[in-house]
Amino acid sequence: MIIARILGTVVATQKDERLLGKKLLIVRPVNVDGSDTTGYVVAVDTVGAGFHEKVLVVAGSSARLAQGMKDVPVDAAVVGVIDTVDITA
Amino acid sequence: MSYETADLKTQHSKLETRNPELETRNPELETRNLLMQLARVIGTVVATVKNESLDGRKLLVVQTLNRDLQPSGKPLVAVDSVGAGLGELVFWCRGKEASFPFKREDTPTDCTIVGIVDSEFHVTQSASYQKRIL
Amino acid sequence: MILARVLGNIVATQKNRRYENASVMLCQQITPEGDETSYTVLALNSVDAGVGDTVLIVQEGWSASTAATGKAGAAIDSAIVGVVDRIDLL
Repeated sequence: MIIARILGTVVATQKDERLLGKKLLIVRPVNVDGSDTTGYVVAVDTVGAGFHEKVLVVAGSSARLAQGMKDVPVDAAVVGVIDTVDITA
Repeated sequence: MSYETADLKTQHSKLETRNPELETRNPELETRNLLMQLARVIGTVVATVKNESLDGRKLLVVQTLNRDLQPSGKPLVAVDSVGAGLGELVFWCRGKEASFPFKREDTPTDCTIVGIVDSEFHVTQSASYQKRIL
Repeated sequence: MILARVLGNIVATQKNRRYENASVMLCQQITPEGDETSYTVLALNSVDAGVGDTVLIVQEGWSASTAATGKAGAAIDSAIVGVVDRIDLL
């Protein structure tokens, strides 16, 4: 999984019917110190994340194991809201 | 026939002219890199709001290492399935298979720690052995 | 998923039979701000996207296969699953 911050949302009315009602967030991966990387991914929100929170994103076919994503065509899902990251090394 | 294996290495490096432009797609996610890798546990992540199937699971930040135990690539967040602690040398598994140590249908993880290496000696010793015989 | 712009159609009369009745589109990834990147991909059209549309592409095997053909197991790794109306950046 990666840590990411939310950049915005995507609105798409014409889409696969299994994606109806799903919130699509644009997220940008961040480094462990909180700084941005380049790149982004569009992920389906499964936890109701707020816009200024850092989130946990799972990608690949495992995204279909997220809550409510069983038969949904997704390859990235937000599965958690990060409270703290402690790096000791 | 004898040859210097160092020469082979330079020939092969010329073949590796992968277009770096083609790798601009989400390199941070590395979703196509479905290999098991060595890593060092460098931190923890706390997330109270998350999918139910991740409740009670330890989330650790791991830094992937190469065969010389040097950092390679960016740190990732991994779910622990073996009781790994901070500073330990572990290996993790990617992709769909990362959900296999848990209830498979429920646990959304694409990076799981599946083993703890007994000692660094096991990694570095075999690396130096290969250098000796070649 | 990634955001992309549809550049055009690909015509291929000889292809795997599971691709029949599916149109293959050439898409170029865009950044959330709308700028084009250098990454292009072929994706199967499952939502009747047109040339020039901004679309959402999923790049996972099962998802792409079921979206494009209705069944899993087809040799498809990218599919267009939505036409984007609006992108709201914070």
